[in-house]
This record gives sequence, C-alpha cells and structure tokens, in this order.
Amino acid sequence: MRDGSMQVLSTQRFSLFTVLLAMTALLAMATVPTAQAQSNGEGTIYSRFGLGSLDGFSSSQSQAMGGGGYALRSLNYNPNANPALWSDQVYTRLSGGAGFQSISAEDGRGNSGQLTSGNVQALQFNFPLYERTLGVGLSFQPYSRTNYSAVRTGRAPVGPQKETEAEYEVNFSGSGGLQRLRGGLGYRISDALSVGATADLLFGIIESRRRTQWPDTQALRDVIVSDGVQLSGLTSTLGAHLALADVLASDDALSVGASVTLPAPLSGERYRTLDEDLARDTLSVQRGDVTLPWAGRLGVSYQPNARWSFTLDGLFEPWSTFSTSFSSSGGQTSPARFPVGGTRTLTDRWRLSTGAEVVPAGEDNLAGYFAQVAYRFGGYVEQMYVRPDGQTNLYEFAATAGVSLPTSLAGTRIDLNTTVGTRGTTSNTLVRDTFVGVSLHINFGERWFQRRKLR
Amino acid sequence: MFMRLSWLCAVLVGGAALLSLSACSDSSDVGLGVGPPSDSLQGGQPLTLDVSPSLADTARDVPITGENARQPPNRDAWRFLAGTVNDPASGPGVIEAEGYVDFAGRNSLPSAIASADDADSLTAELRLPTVYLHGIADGEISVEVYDLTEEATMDSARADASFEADEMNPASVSTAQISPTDSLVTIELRQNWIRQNLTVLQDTSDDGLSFEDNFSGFKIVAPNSEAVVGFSSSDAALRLTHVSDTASADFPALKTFTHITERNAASAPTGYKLLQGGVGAGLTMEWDFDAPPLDTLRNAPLNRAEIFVPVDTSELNRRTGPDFSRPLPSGFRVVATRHPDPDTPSCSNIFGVLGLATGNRACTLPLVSSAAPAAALVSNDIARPIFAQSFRRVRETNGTSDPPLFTTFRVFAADRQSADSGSRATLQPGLPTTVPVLIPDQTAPEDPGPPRATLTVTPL
Repeated sequence: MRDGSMQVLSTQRFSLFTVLLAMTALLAMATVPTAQAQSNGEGTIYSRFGLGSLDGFSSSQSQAMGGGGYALRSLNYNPNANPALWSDQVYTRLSGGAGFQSISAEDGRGNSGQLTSGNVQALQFNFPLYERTLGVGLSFQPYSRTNYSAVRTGRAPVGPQKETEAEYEVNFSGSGGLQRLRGGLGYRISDALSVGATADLLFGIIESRRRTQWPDTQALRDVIVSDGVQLSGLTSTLGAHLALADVLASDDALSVGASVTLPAPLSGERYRTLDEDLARDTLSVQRGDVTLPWAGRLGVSYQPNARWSFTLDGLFEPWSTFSTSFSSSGGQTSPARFPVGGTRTLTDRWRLSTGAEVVPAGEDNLAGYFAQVAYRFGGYVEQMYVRPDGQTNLYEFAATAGVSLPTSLAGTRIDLNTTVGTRGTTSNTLVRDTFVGVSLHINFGERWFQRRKLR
Repeated sequence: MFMRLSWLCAVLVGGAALLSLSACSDSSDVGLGVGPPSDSLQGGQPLTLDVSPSLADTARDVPITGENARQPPNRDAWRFLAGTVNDPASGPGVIEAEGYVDFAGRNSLPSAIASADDADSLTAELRLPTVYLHGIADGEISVEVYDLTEEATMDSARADASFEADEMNPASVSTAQISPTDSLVTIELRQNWIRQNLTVLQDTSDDGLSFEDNFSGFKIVAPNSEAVVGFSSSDAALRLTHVSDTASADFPALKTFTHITERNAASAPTGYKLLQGGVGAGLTMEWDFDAPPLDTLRNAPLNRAEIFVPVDTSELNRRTGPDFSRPLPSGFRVVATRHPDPDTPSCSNIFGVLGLATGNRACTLPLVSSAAPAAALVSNDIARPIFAQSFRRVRETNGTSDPPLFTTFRVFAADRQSADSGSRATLQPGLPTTVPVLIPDQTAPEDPGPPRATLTVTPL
C-alpha cells in the first residue's frame, strides 16, 4: 500500500519537476544576452528614466483583463499583486510565461523607429499548506526593466590625413533592471476574509551604455561608456481580501481586494566604467541609498454566475516621494545622475483597469473544448511615473485580450495574451510609442502530497 | 505523460519563438531628445586631434653596417659603400664612406690557375655590382684598394668602427676608376699584389678555410669622389683569370662593412629637422602628458592613435641638381625609450608582441612599411597601446599617478630593399646609407605638417 502511494507521488513529482526544468531553461535562454535581466531586445525610450519600465505582472489571467484583478479569486491562478489570494489554493502550481513586444516609436518631427523585445515575465510557484486555508507563494519576476535603444550617426576625420573620414554610430542603450524575489503566505481567516503578507527582495543592476562604433572599419576601436546602478533591499506587501456571496443575485460573488507594498529602502552603488566584459575599467564608484514609494492597490471583482467575471481595479504609487542619496554627477569620470534627470522627472503613478472573463461552459466539464476555453478582455489607463521633461505627464492606454486553453490535466491551462496600446506624446520633444505585445503562459497545477486510496 | 510532454514542448517552442523575435529591432534616432537638456542622450561623438611632440635633433644611434654571410642574422640585399658626398640637403655636411670586403675561400680551382707558377699568367680584379648611388652621377671615380693588415670582425659592426689597412701599398692599379652608373664595376689589382699573394690565392686546403685565415680582405676608398657608390655584398667577388687559358675563379664576398664619417657637421635647412643616414643622426620626439592637450585627454577613451612623421620629399627633390642622384630611403626605424620607473611594463607587456625590446629600456616599434619614403608611420595597433596605457598611468587613482610609458621616441632613416617589405622588417637595422631626410618641424605648413600623434578620442 505504501509502495503504491509512493509511486503515484513520484510520477506527479516527475512531471512537475520536468516543467520546472523546462521553465528554468526558458529563463536561461532569456538571460543569456543580457546577464542582468530576463529581457532581450529593445524597448521604449521611457525605460531610461526612473528605474525603468515598471512590470506589474500579477498573473496571466489578470494580464488579459487589464492588469488588475486584485480581488479576483481563481483556483487556476495565484495573483502576485495580492497575497491574500494565495489562501485559496488547492493545487501545487508552477507558472511561467514569456512575452514579445513590438514598439513603433514616433517623435514630433515624424521620425519613427521600430523596436522589439522579448522577456520572461514571471516564474511563480505556489502550493497549499492547508487546502483553501493556508497557502504559500514564491515568485521571481522583473520589478523594472530598462531596454531603450537609440542611435545617432555621423562622420568624423580619422588619421593624420585630414581628408580621411569614417562613419560612426553612437548607440545609446539601456539594459538590466530590478528583479523581485518574493515569498509569502495567504491565510483565510473566515469564509469571507483572507489576509496575506510577503517578504520581497529587490535587487538588480540598471545600466545605461553609450557605444561609439565604426560600422565600416575595424581600424578604430569601439568606445563603451557605461553608467550603472546596483541596488538591493527588502520590502513587504500586505494584502486583504473580502469575499461576499449572494449580493446582487443568488449564487453571485462580490470580492474586494486590497494590498499595500511598503516603501522599499534600497542601498547600493552607482558606477561609471569604460569598455566591457573582462576589459572593463572602473572609472568611479559611489555608494548611496534610494527609497521607493509605497504602492496601494484596490480592486473589486464580481461574478454574477459561473460563466462571467468582471474586475475593476486601481493602483496608486506616490513616486513624487522617491528619494535618493546619490549626489549629482561631478567630473567626467563620475557616473551619470541617478535617476536620469533627477527626481523632478518622477511623478505619482496611478492606474485604472477593468476587465471581463467569460467561460461559455461555466462549470460544465462535459461541454465542448472551445466552450471550456476562457475568453478574456480588458483595458487600462495609466499615468506613468516618469515625466522626462519635468512637466508633461505621460499616459499609457491599452486594450488587452487573451484566451486560456484547458488541457487534459485538471488545473493546468495554457494562456495566450495580447496587449495593444499607446504611451506618451509627440509634443515637447517627447515620443509616442504604439505597442503590440503577445505572451504565452503555462499554468501547471497538480495535487501534491495526496495519498490515493487503493481499493 | 506523453501528452503532457507534447503540450510542454509546444509551449516551450512558442516561448522561445517569442524571445527570439526580439532580434527584429531597428534602432533609430527617435528618442534622443527625450529628457532634460542636462541629461539628454548626447556625447559620444569622436574627435580627432593632432598632438605635436617637442622635437630635437639630438638622437644618435650609429647604425650597423657590417655583415657576415655565414653568421645570423642573414641580411638579404646587404651592401657596402665607398665614396664621398656633399648633399645639398645636408648643408655643409660631407659624408665619407669606406668599404671593406673579405672573401670566402674555395675548395678547388681550375687546374690552369691552381698550377700557375708565374703571377704574370694571372690577372685579378674585384667585380662589384652597383646597387646604390648618392651624389653626382656623371664622370668617373678614382678608387683605391688596400689590404687589411689583420682579420677584421665585420659581423654586425657599427659604422663608426674601422679596421687597419696597409695604405702604403695599394692593391689596386694606380689608374683604377669606376663609373658609378655602371651596373657592374671592376677594379683591377696590381700584378705585384698577385705575386705577393699567389700562394694564398692558390690555397684550397681545408675547403678554403686556409685561404680565409691568410687573407684578411680589402678596404676600398674613393676619397676625392663626389658620390658614394654602393656594392652588393652577396654578388661581389674577387676574380682570378688565367691569361692564356681564359679559365677564371671567383671568390665570393664573405664579409662586408662600411665605415661612415661626417667630415663637416651637417645642418638642416630652416624649418626642418635632419635625419642623416649612415652616421645615425636622428630625431628625438617627446610628448608631454602634463601639458595641453594631452593633460585634458587623460580620461578620454581612445578610439585610434597613430604616430606620423612626414618626410618632405618635395623639398629634398628641390635641393637636388640635375646630375645629382639621391635615392629616397625606403624605410625608417623608430625606437621608444621606456620610462626608468621600475613599474614601467616591458615591451612585450605593452604591445603583447615579443621581439621588440632593444637593450634595457628601448622598444623598436614596428612601422607601416608602405608609408615610406613619404613618412614613418606607427600604426594604430602599436600607437594605441602607447597612448591608452600612458593615459591610464598618468590618470590619478587614489591621489597617485604613474609616469607615461615612454620618455622619448627616436626616429632614424633605415633604408630597406623595398618599401613593402612588411612591418616586421622595419624592426631590423636598415641597409647602409648616406642619404639625408628632411622632417618638417613645428613651423611647417599644414601639408605635410610636422611630426605628430593623431588621436581619435571619444570624450566622456
């Protein structure tokens, strides 16, 4: 009897272990080009400011519903944004996803550029300690991402003969970002109320590079000047979730969720270097501290029946309170100012999102395949936390959609999401991005630690 | 399980495809102006500037002019010189060259020569292919040939060395004259000389070594000439000919050497520095890293560097009369002297190349051979480490700095067989030469300009 249960357990562990290995491989693929982030390619110029583009990924379900879902309960997902939702777990779950985004950037003069990037969006591992009562969540995902790229070209005389010229390119690029390693618990206090808390480790390197290169000749050496900042620190997120039933109709459900991330004191150093890789020569290093602002999230979700879910969410982060002890740059060898442009380029961030999900089959497990597919759509508007010129607030608008494909494994779904939107403006020498993104996620869930009874 | 894995594979392939799509970017200048002016994306434009060194005609490095065909290094196309020249480009300077040649023995001789009892049945002559002419080309030159009194060690001897000769009794006939424009000149030796040396000339024992032990060689001078003539070392020969039999035997040259002296001190025309071949007068260049503009470039990343020493060939040609012949040197030699600071890296550490060290503190720099005769050019591969590492050393770190790598750079004329002999060949001593080279100084017009380091930097 013991042998039989061990075999079942061993098989289940093998399958999840295989997924874990595969996701690790996917993560490694993404990190090879830029060792400091799970990102590859080039993105918005606005990622040059602040800490980069903030990544608020919570779950693939919430991503397709506008990015909120702070109150959205689901057995198939464990949203990162509100740890109170981790109390509602049945399956041991491993989730991961990769995304691709294409940006068409346009400035006020009508110039445009095409930028693409790929990235791993998150790796999440959750399991219940007590089913539907106490759950554990672990995750590793980007907190911010810097991946801008812009090029200036020109010609310069070279060599002792004045008439000899060579074409050069000055490539400005950013890489890296902060990562967040999170661990926490969600606990259901009663049928209506759940709470949760996490400990979050933020760490990473944000680096800006200026590479002067010579596309037509090997006779001139490239010059790479890098300004980087390396930061790490701890913070915490506290969450609560209130679930109410039979509110507007029988068998409906109304949930209210909220979470607060505490201000995050980070310390580290910024540096300026010459060259790259092993030949890198450090010009200067300066230690300092920064404090990231708190973040508040509030969401409502309503499920009138088993087929439909609706969400409405809001986020607020007072980035105007961001503080730093890194002093302004001095001489030629000093690192560039952090954040770029100073704190006056930061402003409060808010975000409103809404979304809906429909599963035509509802709870009918015998319905056709496409009736069991979840169809999601949503949208959001966001005031960005960066304000590069110090006066023009920037907004991001996007529509989201996605499908969630059930698999033969109960608790496992494969999600395909897309986002289309725009950010910024072409006024005041700024840039408007029009972006299209797609992402692919696997949400793998199995029951673990369950002994099957042999008859 | 198979179904799960197929799902998993499909997802992974899809994820990898999403990540790989990021290679389709097309960066542009969009976004360069975003941000406050003080922190906009600017800079990175390279800047090229010429940095002139201080110049002094104080360098002296008497060149090697001796060669032994049996001793390494084997120098192809070596030559030895004889004659006197007063080059208009050198001002009052008169260069006098005396040639020395010793011959290899033979292990056999034609029977008519080997058995000749009477010196009158033989004639002897020096057969010297001409490969170099510097001076007035028309007319004939009287030459004199003397026996060396003892075996001379000509191998790698420098031009200021000399070997004793019996100048009371010339070996050549008193009327010996050569035409410097002939491709081959012959100098007839006296019958009396043949008579005195008949036994030695007929000695083929020890594969000719006995001849070499007993015959010390010749000194060839042309003290009253107006040109210096150069003879091929590898093709020069002493020829014995039997008068009636017409049999002949050549003794090939084994060792050659040229002694070069300067009778009156040469001086450069106004606006020029003079490199004087043969006597080893060169140009000393020094770059001051504590003075502008180098002191402002300490932190500037270096894209490229070259050291360029132009030669004003048109000025040289302008100072040449219609009958005056002057070859342009097909090469130069640049020797950098390392700073005496004990922490100064070795030549091989600086350049990552072995074989550049010359003496304790000197590094011979490879040159771009094809730049000659118009210039001595140190390429980016060599010049960049010099300046990049010097900038790094003089840059203050924790309140201290080190001296630059090199104190001086000395430039000499070093003639080559051909200009395209490759940069490695520019490390070798040049062929014996007497030609002057005019280097424009700081007062020179823009073209060709003074010696300079041309640096392309990208300011931080």
